[in-house]
Amino acid sequence: MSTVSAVGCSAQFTPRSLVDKPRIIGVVATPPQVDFDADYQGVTTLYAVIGLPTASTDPGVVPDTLTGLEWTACLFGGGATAGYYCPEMFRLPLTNADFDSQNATFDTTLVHQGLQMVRESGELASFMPQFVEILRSTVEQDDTCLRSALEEYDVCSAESAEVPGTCAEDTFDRVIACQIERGIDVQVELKATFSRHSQGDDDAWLFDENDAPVMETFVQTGYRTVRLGGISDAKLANTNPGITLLVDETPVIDTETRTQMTQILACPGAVLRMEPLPIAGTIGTYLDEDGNVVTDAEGNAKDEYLFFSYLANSGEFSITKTSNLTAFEDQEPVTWAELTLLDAETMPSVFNVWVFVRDGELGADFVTFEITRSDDPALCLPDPISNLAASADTTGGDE
Amino acid sequence: MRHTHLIAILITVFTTGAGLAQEAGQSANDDVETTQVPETTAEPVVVPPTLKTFKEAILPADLGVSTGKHLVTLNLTIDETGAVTDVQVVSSDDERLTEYAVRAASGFELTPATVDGEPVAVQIEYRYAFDIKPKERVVVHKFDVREKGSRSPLDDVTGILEENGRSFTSFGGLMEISNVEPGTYTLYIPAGTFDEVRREFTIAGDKIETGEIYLKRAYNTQNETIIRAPREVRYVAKQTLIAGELKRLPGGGGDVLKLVENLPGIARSAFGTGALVVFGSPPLDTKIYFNSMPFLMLYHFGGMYSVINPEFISKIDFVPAGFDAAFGRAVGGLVDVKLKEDPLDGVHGEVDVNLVHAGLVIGVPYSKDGDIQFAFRRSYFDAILSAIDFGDEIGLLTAPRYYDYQLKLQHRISPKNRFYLFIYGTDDSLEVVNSESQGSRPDFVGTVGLAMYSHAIQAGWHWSEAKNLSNDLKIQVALAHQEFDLFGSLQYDLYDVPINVRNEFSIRASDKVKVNVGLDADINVAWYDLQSPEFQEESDNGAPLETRELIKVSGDYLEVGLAPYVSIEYRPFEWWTLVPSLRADFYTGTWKAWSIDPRLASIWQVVKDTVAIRAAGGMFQQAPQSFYIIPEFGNPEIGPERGVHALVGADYTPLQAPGLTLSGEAFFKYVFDRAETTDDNLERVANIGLARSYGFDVTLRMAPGGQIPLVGWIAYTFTVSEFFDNDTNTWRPSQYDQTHNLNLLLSYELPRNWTIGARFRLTSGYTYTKVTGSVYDSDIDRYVSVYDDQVNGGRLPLFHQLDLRVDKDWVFDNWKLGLYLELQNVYMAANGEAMVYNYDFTQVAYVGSSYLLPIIGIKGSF
Repeated sequence: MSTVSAVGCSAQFTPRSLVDKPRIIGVVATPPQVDFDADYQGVTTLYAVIGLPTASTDPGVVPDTLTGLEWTACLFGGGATAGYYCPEMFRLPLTNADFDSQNATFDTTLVHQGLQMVRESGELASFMPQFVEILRSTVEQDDTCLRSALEEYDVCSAESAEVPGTCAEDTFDRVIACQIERGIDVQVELKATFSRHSQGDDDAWLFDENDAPVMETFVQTGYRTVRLGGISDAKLANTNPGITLLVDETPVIDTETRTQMTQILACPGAVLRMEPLPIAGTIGTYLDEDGNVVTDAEGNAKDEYLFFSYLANSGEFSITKTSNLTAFEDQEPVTWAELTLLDAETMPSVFNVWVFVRDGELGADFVTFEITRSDDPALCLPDPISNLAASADTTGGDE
Repeated sequence: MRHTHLIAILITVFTTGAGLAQEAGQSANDDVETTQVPETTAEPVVVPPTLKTFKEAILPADLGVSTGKHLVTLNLTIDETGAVTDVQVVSSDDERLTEYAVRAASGFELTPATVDGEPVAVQIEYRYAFDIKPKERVVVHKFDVREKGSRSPLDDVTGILEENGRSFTSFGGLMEISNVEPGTYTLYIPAGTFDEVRREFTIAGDKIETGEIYLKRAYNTQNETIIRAPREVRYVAKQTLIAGELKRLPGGGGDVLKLVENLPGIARSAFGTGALVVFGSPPLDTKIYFNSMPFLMLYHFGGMYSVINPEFISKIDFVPAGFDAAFGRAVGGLVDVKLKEDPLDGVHGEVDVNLVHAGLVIGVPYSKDGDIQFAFRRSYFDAILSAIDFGDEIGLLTAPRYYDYQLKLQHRISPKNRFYLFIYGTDDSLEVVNSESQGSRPDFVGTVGLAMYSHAIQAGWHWSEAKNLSNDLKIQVALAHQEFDLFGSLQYDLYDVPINVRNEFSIRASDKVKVNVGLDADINVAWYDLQSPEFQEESDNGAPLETRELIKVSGDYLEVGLAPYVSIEYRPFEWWTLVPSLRADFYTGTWKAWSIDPRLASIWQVVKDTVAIRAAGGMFQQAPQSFYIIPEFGNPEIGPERGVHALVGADYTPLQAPGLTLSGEAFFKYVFDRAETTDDNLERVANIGLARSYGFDVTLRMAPGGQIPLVGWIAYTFTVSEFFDNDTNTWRPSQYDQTHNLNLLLSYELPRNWTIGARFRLTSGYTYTKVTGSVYDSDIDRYVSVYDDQVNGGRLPLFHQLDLRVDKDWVFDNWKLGLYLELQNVYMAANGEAMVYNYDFTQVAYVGSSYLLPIIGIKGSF
């Protein structure tokens, strides 16, 4: 960890919404759930959303930069409960990645081919015990198909102990079939390398004897799940939710046009209300445990609930991560957030805002825009406000 | 010298009938019977003297002569007029009577003896007979003698009538003034246990007057021992807290059960948990009993206040290890809270109001053999909290509140048979919503709700035949319900009907052998609806709730546990006692298993009443926790968890200071077959765990008495608690490892009904696993901690805290008013109880208590 500071018994932590150091803000997979079976294997595109802090205005300070992205898929990873452990034999580097666009393409054909190679390698007998051990550590209580396959493997192995590997092929085929039916959650690991100007214990920027900045690199690791298969007529593939973001009731940007960087003008101390509106047709519906659509009291299909995360390089959000919960039953869950900008002395001239949307089923997307500081008395006095109509501007962006 | 013609005459005189009253009663009368009159000469006609006027001997009240007949034989010289001129003592059955017999006989008037009709002086032998009869008291005045404030009747209080020096003693709270002539008197009760009293009163003579005397307990006479080590050989490590004055010690807010945590061998529980970590064992390894029956719940809300009003508690027994086979199903220790058995001597009650709750206790004897007592408490800090604005993120759907009640009926059926019925219950409820969570746990969003109640009926019958035979039977039937919701991830709804039976029959076969045979039976029927994130291996620390498999199960289970046991107390020598015991546990129902546990305990009195050495050891076992054996969720195939205890200790009580006892003991516990979560989801739980703990404790118990009205104790415990790490094949600190634990508790009585007390604690912090970094999980938009390989390699800072308490009582004749103020964490030590982190684990802070907690209350009792 970079810094550890004891802050006493009443925690005054940096809010999660404040992007004051380089970090992975999210990973978007398009689509989040990929067709995958013996006959067809789909492709998904992964995009790393990286947040960099506002550059320091101190003389000679080098801004933080992203210097590398490394993508690796893991077929049967352990997930958070196993510390994202990935058996070496299931690691699959995604070489089809582009640093500039922060994209990686995950062609799941590679997964299918890998499984076929294992199946036909002739070493399945020695492979299976380790494979089964991994599956046993991740199999869920309601996954009757896989549980049954593993239990039968136990019985078969005990009965044919003298001939190792007798049960390997049957078990392997059955296990893979179960996994595809349920959906294989592939754990994608992203290692983002950043370069930053070093700071001393007193937070002073460090320079060497030639007054050259002392640079350091650090790596942040992120994980993202892509679901392979698990699609049926009753259970359609999930897609990413789409939103249009309103700032002070004015549409500013949406997930479909987020590649165009939008700028708005705002005064120090202004309070900006950000309200994301779902884009029709992009929101899924809830399915119950039997795969049936959950309906409300009027019989209408219930839209899946969306969760929003708000982040910015500066200012303070009223809420950083929404939930479907309220303190009191008669209240509606809060999905919007207010960003209170810093005062005239501390507000940077320009900074970024990110709003992430997630559907809880791996579907995710985001929007981002810039806020440019305005000190125009005509705009900011007597009350600091934002002036979207006067300032909204869009420029091209990369993805 | 007077010349007298003496004729020797032998006369025997008997006196009988009613006589003068004295301490034990005495009678004499003037019947004189001449049985033999031998002549001294042949010729003359001799007529012996006859008694005309008998004078009764006046005996003092406090002469102390026993009842019955006593003779004083005298030689009386009677002159020619019939007057007694000399009295000589021949013999006396009781020297104390002699003087009074002589004095009485000197006043006799007789007809003179004659010789041939002429009066002559003679000498006769006279036997003065006293028939001392049981007192025939004539009560002329009565006093009810009671303690001021409590109105408890007082025995053995002696008062003296200043006018005649006669003394009277109270019995059953009644002092009767008897056999005193009418008039005005002053009764003086000298200072002793109670302050002195002078009371003037009048005896009219025609009727019996009644008065009341309230005696105020004198300063420095309470001095009640609050901690003992009774050293029963069956429980050689037992520590006993005596309830009474214990509640004046700081730290418990008047709740005696809270002070258990300060005993040697128990680690300080983390703030608000009330968890009892005994000799380094996990809290669930220690069994808690109420009157030897399983206690459904010890504290409200996990540690705030105990669920039993202290007025019902006589003492708390704590045995950290090496206990007798009468108790089992625990590889840790045991705590047994004992119900008061003292009969009520009148109507008594108490009202206690403090910042947290208000309570009422009322008790009344319904006959000379039985009484009934009831108590009720209700917290009201829900009303206080409801008035506080916690902001938009936190809402109190149900502010925390609790109530509890107790009803006790006890009846002495006969001198050999006692019966009691105890009904108790509690109801707690809390529901909080948190709509956003900062820091590293964004999954801690949602509702935290707890609703639980329990109601139990316990009955007991004790029979004893002399000292040789006794039987103790207890039965308890309860209904408990718990509903819990932790942010929607961990939810359960559990109904539980436990039925417990315990019977122990004891026979003393000889001076050296006593045999105890018993049965400890548990039947438990439960219905559950459970939703929980999958359990993790102990070394995996907490993965985010939303990333763990959510398991939902519902069903019911039946647990039946039968455990016959035998325990033999064998004392081959006066200085050595040995107790081998054996227990067999049979489990059936949803989970089936059995085990046999042999145990041995011994005490060696090295120097009688001064130095003792004690030792105990044996096998212990317990069923895995219920959630480990629920099908689908745990593994019903696992076996019992087993352990071995070994303990050796010594006590030293100086003869010249019997109020001081220095004790120490070393212990070792080894637990194997612990049920632990595995990384195999088909199996989930297996008996793969190993744990061990070892250490020692030293305790100085203080109740010096004399001029020092001080009670309390100092206890230091050194503990190493370790689990075996199956991943690294090494022993590592457990999360219950609290190396050093020092407790100092003192209470000092001041004049004018003031009491001050202090508690100081200095303990090591608990262990935790260091966070070395974090990774970002985009699926759930949060950082997940990366832990150090060394599980529990970190330790929270040293804990230290000083608590003070002051009590002031105002004692009136019929009731008592008390005011108390307890200040916890007086110097506001910033003690860290847990670590909290920021969103990406790069900042850390301690959560704990850095505030001064005042508890003020007022209490009225009668």
